[in-house]
Amino acid sequence: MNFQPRLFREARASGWLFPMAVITAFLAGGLAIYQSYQLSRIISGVFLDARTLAQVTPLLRLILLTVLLRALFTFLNEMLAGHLAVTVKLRLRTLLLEKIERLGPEYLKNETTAELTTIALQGVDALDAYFAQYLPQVLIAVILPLTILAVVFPLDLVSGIVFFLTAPLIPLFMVLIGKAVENLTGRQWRALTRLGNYFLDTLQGIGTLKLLGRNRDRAGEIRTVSEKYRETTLNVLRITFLTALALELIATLSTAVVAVEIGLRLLYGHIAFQQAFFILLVAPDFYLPLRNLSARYHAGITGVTAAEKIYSVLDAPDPIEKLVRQPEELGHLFKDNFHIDLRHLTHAYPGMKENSLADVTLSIERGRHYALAGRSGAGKSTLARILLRFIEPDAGELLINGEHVGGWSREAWRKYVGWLPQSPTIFNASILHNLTLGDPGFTTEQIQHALDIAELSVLVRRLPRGLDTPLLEAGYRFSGGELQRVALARIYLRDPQILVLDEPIAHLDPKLQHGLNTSIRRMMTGRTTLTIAHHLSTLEQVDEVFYLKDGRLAAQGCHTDLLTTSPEYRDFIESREQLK
Amino acid sequence: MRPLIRLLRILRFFAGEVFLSIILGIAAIAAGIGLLGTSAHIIASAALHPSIATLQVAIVGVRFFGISRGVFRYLERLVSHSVNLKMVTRLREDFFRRIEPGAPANLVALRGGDVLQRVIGDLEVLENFYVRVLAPVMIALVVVIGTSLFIGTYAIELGFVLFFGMVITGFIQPVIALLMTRKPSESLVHLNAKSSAKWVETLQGLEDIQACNAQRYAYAPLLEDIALAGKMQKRLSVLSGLNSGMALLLMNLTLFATLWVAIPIVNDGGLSGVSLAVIALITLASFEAVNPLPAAAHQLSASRIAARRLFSPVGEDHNQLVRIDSELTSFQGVKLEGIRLSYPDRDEKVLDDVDLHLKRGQKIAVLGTSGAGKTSLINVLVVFQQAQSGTFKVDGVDVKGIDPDAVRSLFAVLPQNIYLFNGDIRENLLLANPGATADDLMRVIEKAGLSDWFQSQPDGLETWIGERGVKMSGGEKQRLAAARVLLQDRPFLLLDEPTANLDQISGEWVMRSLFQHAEGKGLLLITHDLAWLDAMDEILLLENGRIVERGKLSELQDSNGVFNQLFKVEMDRLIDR
Repeated sequence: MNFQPRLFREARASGWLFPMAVITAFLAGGLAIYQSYQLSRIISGVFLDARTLAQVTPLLRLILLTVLLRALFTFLNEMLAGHLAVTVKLRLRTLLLEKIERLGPEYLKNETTAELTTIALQGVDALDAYFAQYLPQVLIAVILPLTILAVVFPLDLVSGIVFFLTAPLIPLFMVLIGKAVENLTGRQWRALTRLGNYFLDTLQGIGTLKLLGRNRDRAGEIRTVSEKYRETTLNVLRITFLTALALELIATLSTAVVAVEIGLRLLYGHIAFQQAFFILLVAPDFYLPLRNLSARYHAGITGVTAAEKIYSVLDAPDPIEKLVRQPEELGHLFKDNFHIDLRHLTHAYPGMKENSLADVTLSIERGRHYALAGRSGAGKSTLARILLRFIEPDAGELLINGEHVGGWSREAWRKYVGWLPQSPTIFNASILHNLTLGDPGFTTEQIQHALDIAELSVLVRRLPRGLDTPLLEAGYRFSGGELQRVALARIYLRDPQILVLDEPIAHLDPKLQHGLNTSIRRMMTGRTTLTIAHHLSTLEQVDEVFYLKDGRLAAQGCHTDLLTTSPEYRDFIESREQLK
Repeated sequence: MRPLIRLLRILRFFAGEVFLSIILGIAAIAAGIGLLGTSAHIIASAALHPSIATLQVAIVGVRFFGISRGVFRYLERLVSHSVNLKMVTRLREDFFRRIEPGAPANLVALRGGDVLQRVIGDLEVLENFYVRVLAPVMIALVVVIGTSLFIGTYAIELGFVLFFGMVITGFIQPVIALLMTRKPSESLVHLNAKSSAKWVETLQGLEDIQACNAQRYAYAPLLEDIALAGKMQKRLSVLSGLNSGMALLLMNLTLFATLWVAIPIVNDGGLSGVSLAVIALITLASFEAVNPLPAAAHQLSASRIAARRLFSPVGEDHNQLVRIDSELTSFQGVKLEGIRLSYPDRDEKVLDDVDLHLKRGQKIAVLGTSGAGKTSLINVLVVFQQAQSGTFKVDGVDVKGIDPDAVRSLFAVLPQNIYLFNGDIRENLLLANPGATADDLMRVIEKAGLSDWFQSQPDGLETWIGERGVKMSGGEKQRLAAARVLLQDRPFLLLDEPTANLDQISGEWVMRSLFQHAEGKGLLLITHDLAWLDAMDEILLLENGRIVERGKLSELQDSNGVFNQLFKVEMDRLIDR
């Protein structure tokens, strides 16, 4: 069955909501039985004892009251179940966000962003039906039929036995046929999804179809494929609907059997009319919770599937967040001539056989400019990301002035280590927000200064809405270069001691390239920097180059020295020439 | 309501099945009513202790209804789903026929946003239109009238009570419920869409956010949205609870009113006691027909929105279909003169006064920064975009008079955005040339530098490449697209950065094959790469939509113009790919 113990625990963790939802559902069901009992008394009275309306009015009033209460409990039940779902969802979403924060951007590389968003929003929403309909129904489907049995057995043993024997058939058939359906749909699944996606595939590829001259025949093919899809779907439905058919047959046939059986016993005076009529009235109610459960079978499956995805994120192993030691304020470490040591760093990405970084040892001193060079896949970005603590290395250590960095929180560390990625994220918000990212702790002077450094002041002054101009919306369209500058100012504002940057790759636009380089240089002045280099000119300008090859530190030194001392490095530089 | 009428008109093509499904649906509910009615009859009659023979007919009836109800229901569900699937088939075909002439430009420009996802979503909504909306409503209408008439034969007042009770419960209350919940649920949908965009943005920018220690500020709006959505949902659950309670109340009040009216009639002898029992149970059973109506009301309003969007115009079809002119058989050259192109609601021109003359046996390269208009140039040539001014001629004939499909058939294109279809390698290649033999396919696979990859695929040409070719890397996709070009024998080749995703060695391999294939044809090569330029008859430098320099490589190198500057920057690039 679709029972997820962890979801059940979530429901219980939300306090009184879950028990109350179950109790109200039970009361609503119980009152239905009571109403049937009163109804049988009224009809029996009028029919056999020739009671008048006035005589049965008290009973009718009782029915009216019962009906009102039933409506009330139905209302309460649905409201409570809805509140329960909201509470659980709120908790799960908060947990997901916290987890994503801990997992960091490295995790997002594998799990695509869109997929994770789907899990956090639609995935969690899929639990609505599970908590609002399915979970309470599971309990109701057990309690209510048992209650009816307890009432019916004393009244009429035979009917009780019929009920008792047929009830288990419903879950039994559900499971048996469910298995068969699963097998069938499993076999047809690929065909079905392919046929189902054919239309989207066609629309997405319509340009390609036109280029290949296949657009005209496609309309007919859509019909053929859709027809095939219909046939396959109907084949699956033919089996799927058998579940409902079986449940329906059990319920209606049992009702028929009970009706005939009590009818005959009544004929021979073995049972009173009122009791017989009551049993007939509750017969459909007896099967109803079980049938409802099967109708909500799907809600159960959807909920459990969604839960599996949610927990797969929540259960993903955290990168080692070691014990954080005090103090959190690391300013004193960066005061004097600090030096950072990377010792014997080794790292492999999950699922990769080869180390992306193998036993790399190097050190960085205050105020100097460093560059990382090497072909793509040589480990440059892994090294930078370890320094930024987006990645915790498999082995090796990161030290500042001889102290282990791993013991401090990543936030405390990143206050002093800044990162300018190759293509920084620009948020769909104002220029100001893109600079502060919502942090209210910057002064106007600080912001102005950052704009100056990034050479954005003139542009901002020219814009009618100034710093409040939205960056990505229609209206003024910012060029790629201007957006790069915004990101530059964003980092400058935070004034990091160490700046790690992935040099923007030049597209063939010399003017843009030159201007951006000037701003970047200005920002580097007086700071310790580590540049992932893509330009020869960068290598020529830094104090020291770390040349990485296949994850190892193959050479280090200043560019001109390396050209003579390291044949590997020379090869690397000269391969550019060979291309011509 | 017009979109709904259009939906209904589609249904007339399978009126027979529609009729059958409605009859089966009515039969299923009638069987349910019959089951409880005859059961009540048996028990009530038995209470009067008649001979068993008088009950025989009713006993047979109970058994018949007991079995037939499930069977009817089963058949009804199958038939109605079949109707619905047929309807969706028609909708898809119809939509494709409407959108095809203007595609792909209309899919991008049309009302912005993700048009395709929405179309698919709308079709998904309509997949339930018949099953969840139309069929239940029609069945309910018949059942409400039928049972009311039937009960009316016992006593006319009772017929009225049942009729109004069912109409209020099944038709009026759901509409009220819909009106009550529509606004809050719409704003919830709106909020969810907005917060989905925020989540995507935050997660995409997580690296920058964490690097700036701005987590606290970045997550706050997300958490606020979650809390707000929770509040709205709680309010909705109160409303939906009210509606469920109300539906239950109305149904039972109908029963109550029936008793209230019927009991005096029984007392007066106008109605037998047996009938009272039967009427009470029939009343309860007939509500089965109106139970699905609240859900139908919801689905109806969703269907209306979906249908309206689906049937709305899909961008004007500016391509007049004209038969291809007979003099267009030699295909000696294509010529663009003074082409200007800009996109709606953008000021800047994507192409500005561009001249280009591509003849057979000639090779032209186009260089430029990203966004300079190189890809738009191809879009104009394959008539995906129509220039605002300037002429585009094939062998001296203006293309405005030619079937765009015919113009396209002159070009074998390797586009920048490669699309592979969910299928196997063979299907994807055969699209380029349905008549190609297996040998042909193997030849182009080899020429496109895919042999090594192909050898490692277990199923050979039947290897499944997944949705959009997800099972292939970017480089492999590009080579498969090159293989498609190699399969086409067309007079001109348009290659849009054909080696962008390839390493140097395979890039050279692919380019050599493409050049070989271009022998005696016209070739237009868009590139970032400075290799191969010496093989070109002409090089165009495109900047902000304008051609700023043109000539042979040697001429450009001597001129000390823009090209030379670019060349220096390019030399500064390290090959670290």
